[in-house]
Amino acid sequence: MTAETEAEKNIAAKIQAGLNAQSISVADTSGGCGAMYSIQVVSEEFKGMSIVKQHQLVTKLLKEQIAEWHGFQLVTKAP
Amino acid sequence: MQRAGSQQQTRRSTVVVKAMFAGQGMAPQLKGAIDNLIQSNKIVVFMKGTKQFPQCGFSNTVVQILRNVDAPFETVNILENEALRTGMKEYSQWPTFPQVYIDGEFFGGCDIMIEAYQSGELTELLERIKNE
Repeated sequence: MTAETEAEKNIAAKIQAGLNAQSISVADTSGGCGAMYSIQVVSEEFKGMSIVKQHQLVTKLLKEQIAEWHGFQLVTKAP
Repeated sequence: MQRAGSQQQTRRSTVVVKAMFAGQGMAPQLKGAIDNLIQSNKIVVFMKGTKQFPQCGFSNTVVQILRNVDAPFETVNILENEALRTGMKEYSQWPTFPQVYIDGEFFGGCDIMIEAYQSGELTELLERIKNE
């Protein structure tokens, strides 16, 4: 799990709480402003899912946070 | 015939805009208008700004990709109405814009479009649906 700041850790925790992830990486790419994030999630649960479905799984967990961001990059894959 | 076709498509987009003001949120008329738009056009992009004047880098990227692959596409400016903007996030189950629909199905956002364009998957898909 790669997440350093409080905000990044909160996001990673939200993801971990909702799905069993082998690895989660959250990085604030807005210079610490909490406006843009780059997120990567690797999880067994993604096996056999289309990219859209994988992303929808993650964004559902982060619904409230996302409402406050300007944007984000999400990369998901199965191990 | 090219011009008549694009006029028809513009009329359909206008139907969406008119339906927006008829109800709140995703009113049945709005949902119906969106369903119709997505089924009647091979490619529809719900974006910030218009095809001629995109108002966001990600939306612009998608417009440029579609121009590059020479595919005809409709765009809907979600900045024009909050109900549409909020409604589309529910409709697509996707929290951001742009939202690209191909052949009646949600295809993805900007990152997915870039990936598909670079891998050749987009061109393949467009080729396939052209012959339907």
